[in-house]
Amino acid sequence: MNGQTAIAVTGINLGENPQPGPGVVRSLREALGTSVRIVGLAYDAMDSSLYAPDLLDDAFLVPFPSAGPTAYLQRLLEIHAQVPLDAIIPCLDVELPVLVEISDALQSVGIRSCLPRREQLLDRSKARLTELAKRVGIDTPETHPILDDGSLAAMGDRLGYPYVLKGPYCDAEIVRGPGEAASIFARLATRWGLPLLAQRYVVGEEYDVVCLGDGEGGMPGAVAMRKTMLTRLGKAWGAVTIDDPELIAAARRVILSLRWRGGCEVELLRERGGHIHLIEINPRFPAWVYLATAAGVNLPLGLLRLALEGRAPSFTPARPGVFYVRHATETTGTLADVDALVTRGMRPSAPPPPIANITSQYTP
Amino acid sequence: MSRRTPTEDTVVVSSSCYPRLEWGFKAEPKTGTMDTLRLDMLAVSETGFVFDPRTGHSYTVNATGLTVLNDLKRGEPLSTSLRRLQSEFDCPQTVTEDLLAFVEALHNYDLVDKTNPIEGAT
Repeated sequence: MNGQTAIAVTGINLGENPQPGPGVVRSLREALGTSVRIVGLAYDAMDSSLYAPDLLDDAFLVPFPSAGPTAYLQRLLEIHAQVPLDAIIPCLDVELPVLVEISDALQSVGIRSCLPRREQLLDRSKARLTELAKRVGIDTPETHPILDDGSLAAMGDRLGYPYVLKGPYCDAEIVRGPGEAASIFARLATRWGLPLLAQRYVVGEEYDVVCLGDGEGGMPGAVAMRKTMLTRLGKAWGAVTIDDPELIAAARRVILSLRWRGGCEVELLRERGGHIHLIEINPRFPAWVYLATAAGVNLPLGLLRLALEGRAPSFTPARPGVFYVRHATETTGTLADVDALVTRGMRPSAPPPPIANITSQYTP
Repeated sequence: MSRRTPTEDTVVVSSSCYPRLEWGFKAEPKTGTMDTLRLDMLAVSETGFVFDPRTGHSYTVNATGLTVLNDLKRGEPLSTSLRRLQSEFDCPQTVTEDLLAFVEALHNYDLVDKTNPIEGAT
């Protein structure tokens, strides 16, 4: 390993619903250069980062978290036998309950992590958001669980239209009238399971804060941003960092109350009069985490330090006015790459070949 | 200082995204100074690009708008801006209305809390 620190990172697909892994990797690469070895963990042979140059050193397929903690742990240990891992940074919501459950087993073989505890995960869940918001003194839109589509009409009467229907882990759609409630319910329930959550629609501007919690109530770093470009799915395609002490203070109260350990994203909404609402807490770094790094606050590096050394560096406030626009481009691979991933579950440690080589393989 | 020729829309401010359309401001002639707290935070370039670090919104102003905005940031009363517009630009008589409209636009973008209409303006 040549003294390199090997870090496994998940959530490496930059598609229509971009995942945080690539931003985490770029942040670590910028700070640590060649002293870090990045091991990408993919759920699909077509996850885009598998074929992106200068991002991953090794890549492996892993089972979906729904396979359960035992299967997930077994696969990680298989990978650890091939590339000894020093730490793992999970970047997807659905992985966290599994990773939290197997974190001690991973730690026992030398794979460290910086994760919240099970109770913290539950306390930040959408179902308990109202309770948490009350505890930290921030308003939150009225929210109710929905277990079946029979209660949609009553929910419409109760919350009025439009209201927001949310999946238990992620995803949300605006219900603008009774006519579209059932189809949105079916779509979200099929994709994410039940219960869904119905939330009162509040008019205002959304601001998001990416945070790092040290597990003792401290928040070594946080960066606030406003989305400037949205995809059809409502995902940020562009954003700009801002300097709003009230938003940072609100996020700090959330981190303190939860004693959050690890990365997270606090979603807030500010009404025109300035009133702040707590909308959601995502239990991992967001896909835009590299914006924080670009603004001078490398939170993935801080998280890695917490995992490996038990303490994070102290960050200076982020520079406001730093923006990003996501740039979609094509990554290329060969049949040999897909072959290796599908049949052996790993990609050889080699950068994707240049286009000329791909073409030459098919020249008679 | 040479006199500059303003564009047709003499004093304008426009948002690059998410423009607010609520126009609840009513200009009432009174004296006093503008609340400059929010203006102080604005980053204003020499070319008229304006960034509000509190909200992340950005705007552009033209040459006359930039002149007024910089006056306001310095805490100058609007009467000073009016005199400056009249002396440095070939402004028509209607510039007073444009100036008030500009301040109203600043208010609607939450950049100022209240206005200081020009003393003695009709």
